[in-house]
Amino acid sequence: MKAIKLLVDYSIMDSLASKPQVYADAILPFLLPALRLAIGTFMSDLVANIQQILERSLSAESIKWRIEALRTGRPFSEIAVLHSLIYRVEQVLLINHQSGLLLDHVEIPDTVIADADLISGMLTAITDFIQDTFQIQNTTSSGTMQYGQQLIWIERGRNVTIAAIVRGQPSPQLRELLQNALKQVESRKMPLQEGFATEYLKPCLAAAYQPKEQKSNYWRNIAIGIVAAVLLCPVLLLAIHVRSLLLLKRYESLLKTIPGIVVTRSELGSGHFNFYGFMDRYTLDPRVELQKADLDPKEATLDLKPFVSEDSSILERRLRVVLAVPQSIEFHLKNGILHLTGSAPLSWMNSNRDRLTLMSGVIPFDMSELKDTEYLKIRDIKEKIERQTFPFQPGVTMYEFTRNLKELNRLSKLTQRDWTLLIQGQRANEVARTLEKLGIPSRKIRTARPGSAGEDGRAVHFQVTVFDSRRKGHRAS
Amino acid sequence: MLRKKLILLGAPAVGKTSLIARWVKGIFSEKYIATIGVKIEKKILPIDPEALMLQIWDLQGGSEIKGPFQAYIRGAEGCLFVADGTRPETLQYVLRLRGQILGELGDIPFVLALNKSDVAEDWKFSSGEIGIMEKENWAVFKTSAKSGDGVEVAFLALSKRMLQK
Repeated sequence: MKAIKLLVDYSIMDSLASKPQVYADAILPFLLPALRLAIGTFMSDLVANIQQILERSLSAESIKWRIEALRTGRPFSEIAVLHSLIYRVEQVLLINHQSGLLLDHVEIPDTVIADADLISGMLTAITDFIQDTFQIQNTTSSGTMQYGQQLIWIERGRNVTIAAIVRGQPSPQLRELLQNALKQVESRKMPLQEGFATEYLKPCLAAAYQPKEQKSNYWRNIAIGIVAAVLLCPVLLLAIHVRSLLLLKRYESLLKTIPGIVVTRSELGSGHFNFYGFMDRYTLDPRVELQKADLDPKEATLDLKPFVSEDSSILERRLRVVLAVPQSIEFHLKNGILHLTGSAPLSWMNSNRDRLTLMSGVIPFDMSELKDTEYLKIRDIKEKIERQTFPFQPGVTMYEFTRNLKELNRLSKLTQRDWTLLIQGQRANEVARTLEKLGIPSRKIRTARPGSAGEDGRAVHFQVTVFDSRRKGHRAS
Repeated sequence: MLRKKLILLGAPAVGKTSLIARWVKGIFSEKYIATIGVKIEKKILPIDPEALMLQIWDLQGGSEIKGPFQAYIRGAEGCLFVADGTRPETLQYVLRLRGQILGELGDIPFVLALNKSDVAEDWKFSSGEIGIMEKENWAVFKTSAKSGDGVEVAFLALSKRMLQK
């Protein structure tokens, strides 16, 4: 038989080595469904786990548990398990109640476990103390110790004690489990090797969990929505606040660029921005300037007290308004000195020099480059007159040049023909006056221009006629 | 792993708790806190071929072996008696206890730790007296929980005797 078995074994091995494909084809129909099932189970478990993790990580309960995990320094998974527990036996100890020495013990993995040797000793000491103090005689009994959430159920046999360290409130069935284990341990001879009672103690590591509440998605989504809103609300408020601060900064920057405005403080009001500071009365209208920069002036409340700005542009505007500075004057601030250039009447210069000193404040000014307007006009007229030819004869008449500017101005605008007319007219008048001086009444003298025929720009004719009343129609020219 | 129970007995304030703290945790505190009832510590000795776990019962000093203390010493396989070298009456107490332990637990291994050797100049024992005790089958060790001198030696000697028993 052995010989045949050996032969078959070698034949299969040889065949497998030479033609593995044949065997693969043979077992594949059985293997594939099994593989498919295994992969399917693995995938569905994975999806279920992910779903559970998502549910747990988004619920208010889980947030509470995470805070507790942070506070206690225990893993989140342990906290989550503890909260969904009805009870859980974490350790089961088998103790020699004669010496208090630990005989065997079992515990659940991944949890905070107390030192079993120390527990067994102290439990024995406490039990001994209680038994001695209260004169408890029976050696076999059940007991319970509780401190906070920690509960110890004790089953005391003839020679050994089983202690179960429990978290939560165990069901009475646990007592049965402990008693069964105790019975089984005591029914056999006490061996010395370690772990002899493990098989009896392990069933005592029982646990019961709270049934999972089937909450509808609707309420869960509502809860998630509320949590999200609560979490997002501060972020949103912060974003709005930051935006308002940036806008406030923009308003303030623009106001600070307007000459004659000083912003000392700005703050966010309820729905608008408040600005405090000073404003010169001759500055540009800040509301117009804000509008030009696409900012809504209605959003800004300006509390600007009046003050006097020394900004050059404001100073110029103030001087122009208050001193009625002619447009012919220009202002230039150079090296801290206000230079006045252009021209102005001498009378204006004389009358406003002191006021200018007063109004320009601490800024010195220079009027040396300012020209007298009247002087310029006289110079201009003089030049024009000098360019003119005056066709009058010396000794016949004398034209009185006057300093009267209006007259000079009028004269400067006369043409050659006008001049000839003027002078010939004066000559005719002079003849008439001479005749009057000779005794001829003025009513008998008439000066007239007979006509323009034969005249040119340089020759104009006037006629002086004397009428004789005695001889009608007699006249002398 | 072998598990054995060891008890420490002696008069109050001889340094039982301090000796355990020195051997188990390697620490010493000048602060005196009286032990009420019993305190339990453990020490694992990596001895070939099997490690030894000593469950050390630190009993309240000066207690008579009756009532709960009778239960506390039950099952002990070794005893460390502790006396204060500066107080001869503590040794007398140990001698009296020795008799009681013999009656309760039989001839279990024991050693005597004459503690506070760091102040040996204040000791009231003569080397002659110690010699007499040694002749009467007492294993005597001069120890100091403060400096650690002799502590390890005393505990290891007792452990060795417990294993040999």
